[in-house]
Amino acid sequence: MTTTETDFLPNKLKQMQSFALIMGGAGLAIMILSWFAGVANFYQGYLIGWFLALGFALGGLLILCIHNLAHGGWGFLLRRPAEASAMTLLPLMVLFLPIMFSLDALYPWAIRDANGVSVYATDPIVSSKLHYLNHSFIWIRYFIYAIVWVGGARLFWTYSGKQDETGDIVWRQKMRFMAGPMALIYILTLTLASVDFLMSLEPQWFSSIYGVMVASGHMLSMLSFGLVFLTWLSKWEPVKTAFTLERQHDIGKLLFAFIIFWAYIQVSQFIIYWHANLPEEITWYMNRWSPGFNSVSWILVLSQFVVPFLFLISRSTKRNSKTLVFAACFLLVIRVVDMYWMIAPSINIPETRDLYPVATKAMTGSAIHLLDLVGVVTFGSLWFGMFLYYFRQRPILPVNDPYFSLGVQSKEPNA
Amino acid sequence: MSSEVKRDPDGQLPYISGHDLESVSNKIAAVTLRPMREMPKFWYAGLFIGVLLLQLLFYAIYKLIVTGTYIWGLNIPVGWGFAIINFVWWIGIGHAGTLISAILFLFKQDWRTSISRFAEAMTLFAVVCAGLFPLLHVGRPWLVYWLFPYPNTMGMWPQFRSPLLWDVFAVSTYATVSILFWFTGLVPDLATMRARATDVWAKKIYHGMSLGWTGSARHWHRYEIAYLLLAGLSTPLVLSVHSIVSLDFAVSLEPGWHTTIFPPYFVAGAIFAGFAMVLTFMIPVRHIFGMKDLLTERHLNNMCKVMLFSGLIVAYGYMMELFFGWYSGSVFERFMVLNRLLGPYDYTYWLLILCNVLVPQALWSYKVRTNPIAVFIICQFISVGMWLERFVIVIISLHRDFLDSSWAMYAGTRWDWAMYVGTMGLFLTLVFLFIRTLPFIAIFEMRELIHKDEHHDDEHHDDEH
Repeated sequence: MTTTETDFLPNKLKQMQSFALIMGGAGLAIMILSWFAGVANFYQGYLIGWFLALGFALGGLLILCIHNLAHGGWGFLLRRPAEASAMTLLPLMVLFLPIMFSLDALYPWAIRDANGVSVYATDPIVSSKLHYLNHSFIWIRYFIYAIVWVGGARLFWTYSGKQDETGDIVWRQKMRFMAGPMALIYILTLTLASVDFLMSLEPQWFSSIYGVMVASGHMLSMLSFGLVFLTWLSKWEPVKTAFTLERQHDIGKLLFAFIIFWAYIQVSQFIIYWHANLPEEITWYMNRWSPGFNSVSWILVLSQFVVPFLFLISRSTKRNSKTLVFAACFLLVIRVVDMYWMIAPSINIPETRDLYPVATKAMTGSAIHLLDLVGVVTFGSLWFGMFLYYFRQRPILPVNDPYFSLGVQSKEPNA
Repeated sequence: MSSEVKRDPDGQLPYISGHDLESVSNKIAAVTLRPMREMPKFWYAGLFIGVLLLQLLFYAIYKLIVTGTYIWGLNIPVGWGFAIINFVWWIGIGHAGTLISAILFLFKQDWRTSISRFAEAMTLFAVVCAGLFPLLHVGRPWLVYWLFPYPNTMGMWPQFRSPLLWDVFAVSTYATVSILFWFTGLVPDLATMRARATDVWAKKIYHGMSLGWTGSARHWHRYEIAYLLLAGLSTPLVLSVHSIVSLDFAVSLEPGWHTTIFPPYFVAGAIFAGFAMVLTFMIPVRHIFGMKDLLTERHLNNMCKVMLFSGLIVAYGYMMELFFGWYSGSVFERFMVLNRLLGPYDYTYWLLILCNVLVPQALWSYKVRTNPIAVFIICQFISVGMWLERFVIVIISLHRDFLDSSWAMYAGTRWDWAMYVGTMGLFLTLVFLFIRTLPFIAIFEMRELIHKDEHHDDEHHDDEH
């Protein structure tokens, strides 16, 4: 291998990182300008973009937990992307501060009257939740999420780095030891964070499966991204040798399983709420069934379940890198639709506005706005740039892991 | 011997060692083929208790049919009592088998081979026990076919929007596919038994059941395809059956029932209970029949991990029930939470937390996971806990409903208990008869595992050169 060939990949990654960060920076500048200009949709676009990026980062953290617990050969290939992705949690949590400082622009429960009392103080339902949904407590929770997530990502990153240097099994054992508790902490904090950042956009509404729904989306995001990224990397060594057909098939099966799991969770919630048809619960679906959003709902059902399910059910599509990457790219686009579907109808529905005593500032905007797209591109690029920044710091494969050779070379995956 | 056995980087032993193709077949087949007088006392004792309790079940059913369901402790508002609790408990137990045989098979988890046959059999027996409750609760069991939609002169159709009807489809499909899956997996072993049986009648029966299996390449090829297809068919059933059982509750308006986390949380609970029951039988059986080399501590370790994992999902479900009960802001939901924690049946809730959340946390320890006695004790806690979970869900929600003038207390009568304990007798009887009549570990799969290990070693050896 010549020097030019050896340098090619690192240089390419560096170029991509610079490009992504510049693009993200430009997007952020547009967002800031729109904020100064008082464009109401700034917050919606920002939240959609930010939560999409958070999905990749937290999906990375969850994949690390699963990989360290399950020993699967597929996990060694995804380990570095997952570690780098999880490391972006620190900057992402910092980037959430603009929302934290203007909660009342997005979350109806955060709006206070001239006396500093929540406008929901007299609402029989929401007033009883104000012990939880209030400015001070959400700040405390925000810091807890940040500390726990960033701490978890850093610990995995540090242990994995030490293992790269020493090859000592003790580091692997440490990662394994923390993976179980971390997975628990992840799902508990993610559930609460989903309530805080997404569910409370409609403060009357609740659903106990919501955390799992968001987590399944995170797995879809990171697995789709992982597949696309690994396939791209497999043009060069060392991924070229390590990313065998079996491994590709394994990750493809995992992606397929999570497509079904996501649909299962969605159907569970839908049947239970549709069947009961209670006014405080069905509003969430009514909002997503209002003119305009009903087509988004159909697109989501078809594109995040029906089409990829039918497409990936065949063994041959999962074993053909072109078709699999096509499905993964398609799903990455649909992740944006999913985020939009989760967030926008809660903010922008006239009927929703009527339900609330005071319309929020964000609700004055239109349903679909250019800033939604700018938010997605901005946070997508920023996340990708930050991801590459961390990804470039380590060898692409954890070759010093004592299980690596077994896991990657074995013909029979063990998980 | 142990110095020759290859360990993995964590120092774990392989799932099977010290056996060759002949010895493994002899060992498993011997349990079935040995003369009756050589069966261990444990087997006689187990069967005796089973048959004894089975008589109780027969009597309870007789009493129920001649007098009616009023002999149960049902009242208004608690119209669903022990029958639904026990139905859900048994159906849950019946989930381990399919999970082990189908999902772990698709995940290529080799360790499942030692336990799959036994777990599948337990699935079937548990479904039989579960099915008895709705069958008898309809009041006139001889008209139970009315549950199925069929063109009839009465012009009556079941309510298709009711999850109770979905249950009829889900459970009957589950039972059918599980029987097919179990029997398909048995065919090669039945042929082995046919070859080894010395008793004429045993030989004839095995001969008939093995469907002319010759072990030819064509037979194996078709067998592999059939098994893979059945595994694929069974996999969604693991999720669907208990999800639909959970919808029996969740689609209603009852606080404590109507919550969206129910489907995945019920499925996890089913796996939790199922594994606990499989271990409850596996642990004594491996000891009495000297199967510790086929059902190793590593198997215990893995099963305990699955149990811990599913138990944690269940614990997450409990937390979500409490949190969203409060977060809903609904007075009825909040009352339900308080009624669970502090109401007249509060002890059942706290016992449930002890059994299903606190005690299983001991499974985080490797030492506990590989200690059969400790695991056995924890499994008993889990079995009790899972029954209490259904009690808490069914009774605590129903006994204090929306209208406080209709509140009432509920307690199972002796006939409720007789039915419940009686189904345990049915289960025990079927399990002990199964141990005696069919190979309870899949012989050919164990042989395959040995072959694969040897083959893999050769391959590895070749690579080194």
